Amino acid sequence: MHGEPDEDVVTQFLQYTVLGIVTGAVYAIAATGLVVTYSTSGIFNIAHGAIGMVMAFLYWELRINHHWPAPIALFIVVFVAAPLLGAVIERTLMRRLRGASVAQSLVVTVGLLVLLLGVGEAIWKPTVARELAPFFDPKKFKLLGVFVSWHDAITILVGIAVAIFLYIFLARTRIGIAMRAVVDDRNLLSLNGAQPDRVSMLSWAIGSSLAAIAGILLAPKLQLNHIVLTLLVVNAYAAAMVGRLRSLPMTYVGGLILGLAESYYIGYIHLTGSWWIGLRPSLPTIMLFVVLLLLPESRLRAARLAGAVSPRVPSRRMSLTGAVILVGVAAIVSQFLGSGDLIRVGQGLAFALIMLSLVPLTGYGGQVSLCQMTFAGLGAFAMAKLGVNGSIVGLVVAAGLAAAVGAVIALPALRLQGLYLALSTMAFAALMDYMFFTNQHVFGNFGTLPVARLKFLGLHFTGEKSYFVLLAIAFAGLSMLVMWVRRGPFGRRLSAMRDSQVACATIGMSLARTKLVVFMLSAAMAGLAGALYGGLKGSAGPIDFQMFQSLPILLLAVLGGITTASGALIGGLAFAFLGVLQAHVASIGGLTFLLTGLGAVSIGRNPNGLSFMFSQRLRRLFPRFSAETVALPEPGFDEEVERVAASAG
Amino acid sequence: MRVRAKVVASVLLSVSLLATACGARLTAAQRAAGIGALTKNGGSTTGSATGGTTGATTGSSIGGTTGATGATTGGAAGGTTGGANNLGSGSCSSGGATDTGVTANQITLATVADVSGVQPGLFKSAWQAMSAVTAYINSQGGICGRQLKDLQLDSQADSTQNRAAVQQACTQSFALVGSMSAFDDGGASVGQQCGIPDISAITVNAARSNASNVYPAYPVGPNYINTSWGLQIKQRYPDAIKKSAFITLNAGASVQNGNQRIKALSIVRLQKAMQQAGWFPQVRVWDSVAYSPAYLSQGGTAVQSQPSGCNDVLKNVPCPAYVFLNTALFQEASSNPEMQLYLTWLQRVAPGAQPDYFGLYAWSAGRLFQKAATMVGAKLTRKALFSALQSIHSWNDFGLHIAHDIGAKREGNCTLYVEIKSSGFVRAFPASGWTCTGSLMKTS
Repeated sequence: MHGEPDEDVVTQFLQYTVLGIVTGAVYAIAATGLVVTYSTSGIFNIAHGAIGMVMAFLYWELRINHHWPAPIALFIVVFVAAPLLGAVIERTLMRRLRGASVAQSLVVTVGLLVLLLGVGEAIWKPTVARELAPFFDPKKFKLLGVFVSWHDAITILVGIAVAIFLYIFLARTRIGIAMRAVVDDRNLLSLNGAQPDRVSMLSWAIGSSLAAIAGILLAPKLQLNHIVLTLLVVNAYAAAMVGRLRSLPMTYVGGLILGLAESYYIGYIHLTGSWWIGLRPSLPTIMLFVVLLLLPESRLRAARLAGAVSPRVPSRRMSLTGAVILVGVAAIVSQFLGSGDLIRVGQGLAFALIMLSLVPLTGYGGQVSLCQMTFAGLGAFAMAKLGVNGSIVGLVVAAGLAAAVGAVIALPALRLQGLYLALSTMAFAALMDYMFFTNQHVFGNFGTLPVARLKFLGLHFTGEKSYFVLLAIAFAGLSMLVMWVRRGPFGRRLSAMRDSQVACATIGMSLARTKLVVFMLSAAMAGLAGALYGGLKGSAGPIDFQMFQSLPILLLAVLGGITTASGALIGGLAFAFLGVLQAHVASIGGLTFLLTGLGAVSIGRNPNGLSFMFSQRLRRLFPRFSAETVALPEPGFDEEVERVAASAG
Repeated sequence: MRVRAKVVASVLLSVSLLATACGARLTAAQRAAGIGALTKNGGSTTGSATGGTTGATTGSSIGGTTGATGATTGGAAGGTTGGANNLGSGSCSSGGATDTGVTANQITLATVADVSGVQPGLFKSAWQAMSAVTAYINSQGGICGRQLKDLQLDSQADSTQNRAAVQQACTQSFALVGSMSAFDDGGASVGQQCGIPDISAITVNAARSNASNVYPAYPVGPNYINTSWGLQIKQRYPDAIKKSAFITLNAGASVQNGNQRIKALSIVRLQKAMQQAGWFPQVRVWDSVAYSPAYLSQGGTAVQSQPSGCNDVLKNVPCPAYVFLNTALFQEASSNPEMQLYLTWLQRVAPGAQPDYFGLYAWSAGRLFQKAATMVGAKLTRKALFSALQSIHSWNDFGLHIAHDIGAKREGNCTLYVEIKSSGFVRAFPASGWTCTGSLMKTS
């Protein structure tokens, strides 16, 4: 550090401690609101930061743009606007998520994040620079040789005050207890005279206020920037986990630990070399991972079968027909699309492939993964390195490498379930972002690696048209594989795992082996998809496969229908459609965010997604057609029945 | 009906969810950034130049104030008609449809820029500048009797979309002019394959810079660093440079080089932290990323020369803050006719638009195209245009920026310094134009 040359070790240590506490308070505040929302609604709100972002901009609008006095502006934003927003969110979006699966609730919050981001950018255009000055800037005081600004001191104190207030509120007051009860057992709560709907609205209102406080305190310290504020809260997940998403004092402690760890790392650990550069920014992620693994084993919960009408699995004949039709349509369409649009729609197909990898894992098996793009990135990397000249070896290695890494990730995650599993995959993806993808030995300095297009059996898929058809073939092939898996015994095990892990345990089914295999399968598919995607782009770089891109992949997959292969196709084509639209109609940009909002709402109503809705309508329109499919028995079932009958005499 | 509408709406879902999250790729880089500023070359060398350089030839200013240096090199009929900076439409008349995107009456150009995405409007200034320059050129009679049309394509801050846009340009336009995208690596191989001349404003990724069809108006070389800016500081602050630091942002440079706003804000945060800690280095030097009104307004006193807190620790030291530039200053437009042209025509096509560094180079790219196409004449083909571009070894757009070697794809080695004072950016040295000491040093 700077300053007097004869500082002793203790003083230096104290200085780092003070700095760590300041940073830690920031994390604590961001995490507190998240924990409150989860403990009173059961929903992990990924859009928490986005709410804070919108409120910070609103505060700027009132305070700086309209010159309102700070106390009034603060009051309006924190105690009027934010609670109102929270109540509206609960009423329109979250209410439908009662009993929803982890995938559905995560996906709705992702949709909310995008909606708020869009609204924020539409109202306060990013091309204009805005600044929120820290409170009482530039006043500061000196503590143990370190200058601490009044704003930082306020941040620390507000964090403590909020934690104490909430602790008393939730534990000691009637309404606070009702807020916690509404998550445990709604019906029981209403029998006791409380109104669960109102209580839920209140808990979201409070969560939003806390997000607003975090946003207003943090924007001056960081930037009044849409993306920075929206995603800031991700670093605080580790702090929230220390409190096990329940305990507010422990959340605060978690924040402090995180801040101190970062501060001491900067001060005392000076690892140089390209492999270690990514370590400092990944400290919050590493901590998240460690905390998740060290959490005591969660009890197996009896499953809630919400919206769990499983779509019918197409028969062998139907899936083959569908595959052939898809490839045929793709071949025809490729003749009519302009070469630019071929790439855009091709990107949609590539994403459909990645979404397809979620079908066995999340759709059939009920395990939410937020790192599919990471596996895709590994696949692209393998293709770049080993698939030179388009050799098929590259594709094979891509799938194999991704599967191997998938196994490594699955092992610690075997004991995690539901939300914690999802967050551990998110942590893994973030870690890969920082430490692998941005490492200069991987993609080079400033670099991207060229990725070749497949050459196989004398067929060169280098042109845009032929590569487009190749993507369709790959999708058709992999979806047939997925449906074959579903029809077989492994598919039944996946279904059982999704329905009730307790029941699985009671019949002696090995959950661990099933999870491991499905993770590896899903990772291999994503890796293969990534290799093909790399070929489409012609290159792969560190920023193409970031963790945050896995979120909309999940969202679109769920929207399309994560339980079916056709759902993945719908998701990918939706992406392609909008890309083409945006390219040809320049002004459409902001509209897409609003459409996201509608999409997020619809997931609540149709947990099985659009493909299920389509197929149901098809059945109604063509009853003869559906009668055929109903009549087809599950393969293998008849043989089993006969065997049992025979053995019974 | 209700259900169908919902279905349609849900299908129209937000892909841009993906597109937006594709823009979210910017965010991880932000998070990885911490604080710091990246000069355009983002290297790991220190600021003080070692290689022997000629003695300071300060005062030699390139590009001047009067624009008469206009049509000098080569050129079909030099442009002496009309006002200053006139490349003229030459004495050629149209030669009919000679290549893709060229007809008897029209040349179609394409400009690919990141406009939508999670950070909308990122490089909209490139589109606006191209609209302005094509309007200006058309007002002067076009090129060889052909009017210019600019096809504006949005790469949506996504490398795949960049590829798609370049692919589209290949078949629908004659040349890419004025493109500006943080993800321009996406279109690199496709453009090279189809052989479309690509006069980008500034290329960001090495893959694009190195493509054989790309001749940017500002040929930044990822493996070179212009030492002139460092030499100026070395001369004026010989003691201070004994302990110097070079700050870079660690993340894919492709993202950071593109997002000037993020870099600028990172430097602001760094200096605010310095101010809070009551410590400043003796001299702060930033690259063009700091040359924007937003930087001044967001930074306040922390980014200015003589910030409070500096004098407390370093007595009697003014603690200057400098920015070095290779472009002309917006505030000196009254003595720079080309700058006036850019500013006036920009307001004509997009009233209220903000001129900026990227728009300036996009304008320059348009003028460079005009020069090269005029050299070629009536029989305008892509091949001929490449020859013309390869023969241009000194292009400064009539004093809008320093002279770059277009044909060799080598940037110039001149610089000017402004100081950040409470009144704004104030020219520090040289007194006019640029100073051209130093050279290009290879870093890797």
